[in-house]
Amino acid sequence: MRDLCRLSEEAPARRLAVVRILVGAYATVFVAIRAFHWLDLARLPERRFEPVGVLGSLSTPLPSGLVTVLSVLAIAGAVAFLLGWRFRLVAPVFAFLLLVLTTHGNSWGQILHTENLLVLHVIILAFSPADAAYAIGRSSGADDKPSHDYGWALRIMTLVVVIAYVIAGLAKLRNGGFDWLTGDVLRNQVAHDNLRKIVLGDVHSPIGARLVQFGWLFPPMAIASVFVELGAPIVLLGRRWKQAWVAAAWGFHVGVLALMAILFPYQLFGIAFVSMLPVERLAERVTAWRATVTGRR
Amino acid sequence: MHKWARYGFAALMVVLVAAPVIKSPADDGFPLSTYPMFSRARPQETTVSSAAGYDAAGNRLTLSPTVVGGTREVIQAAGTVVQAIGTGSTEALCHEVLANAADQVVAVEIVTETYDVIAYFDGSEEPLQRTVHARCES
Repeated sequence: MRDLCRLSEEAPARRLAVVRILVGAYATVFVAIRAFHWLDLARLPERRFEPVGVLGSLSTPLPSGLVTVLSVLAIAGAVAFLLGWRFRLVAPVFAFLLLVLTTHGNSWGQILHTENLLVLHVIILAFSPADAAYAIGRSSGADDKPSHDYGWALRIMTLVVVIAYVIAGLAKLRNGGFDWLTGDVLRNQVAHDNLRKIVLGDVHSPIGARLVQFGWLFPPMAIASVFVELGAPIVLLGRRWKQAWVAAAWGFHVGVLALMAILFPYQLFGIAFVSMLPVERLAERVTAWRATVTGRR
Repeated sequence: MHKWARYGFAALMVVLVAAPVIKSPADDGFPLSTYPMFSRARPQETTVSSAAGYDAAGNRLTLSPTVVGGTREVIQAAGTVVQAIGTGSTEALCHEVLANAADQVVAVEIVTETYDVIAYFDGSEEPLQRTVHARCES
């Protein structure tokens, strides 16, 4: 029970560093691809601008020239974040740029929920010692001993994921009530989303379109969805619970993709969950592989 | 970071991310969200708002998200139409879409159509009801 309430945990420096590398690699690709979308949005008529979050007080959108400059800086910042280069200085700047650009991108009448966890995770990592290992231009002074000095950031990243899923689960019960669990709401949601995609000329899910004819399938799926979301706090109970929930949450997102053709890439690539896993083993495997390759030569 | 600064930062992040739970799910924000996706109690009969293009023969043409919403995102295009209906700017949107569309598109309508979403996937593809908010022609 004490574990549940903790804002910190022990972890080796290399785990935090590998999490930085994985989140940084995802962020680099994300920013490089998303910059085109941000630039498209910046050219839209001003009347469509509905600022949210930290930009809520803006009366006009950012000029497209400024969005271009910020996007280029964000790409460079993401690479530096990934490499751990001058991390204490560069990482907070990159986190700020990412927050501003994604917030601006979500300020045009449509908030996407695929970017929240990435932004929050980058902010947390930016103020952590995630450059204590595997960082360019910095000798690793950290030993392998698990410590709260490195684990606190991982714990907060995990808590942020837990809270997000619990809020999503509660929103379903608050908006949909008991009907959400009986399956009708989910069935209609899947049908509506696929129909909307067809009308708008988007790729829809033929699996979802087919399955909506079988109403009995949806109550178990609805209960399982809410169970995964509201059950997220079990990751605070220990390693096996974490692994079980990560597998269930990943399966949940596979289901969303299969039924509605909606992609949550941060979750589907597993990056959203890396703070919960012993990812330093990936680095050990890479090191072992490199030693094998070098040995063969 | 000093131990107490760490705890302060951790507590701040947790409070900020959890705070939306006390708001209405419809009162969404970014990156602090109420995560309302898929939560709405959708009935079997639901509405879909879109921009529809027509060629000279009156055939309906699907317009790309770039033409409708100015970006490659379909969900952004859908949001643009809903936003225009909500703010009463469907005439302006209609003319913008027509200007962006290919030459073969001679008319555009901003419409809201009501469907029985389950019946739709059982072969009844015609909308139950259709409201035209704006129509413009080249």
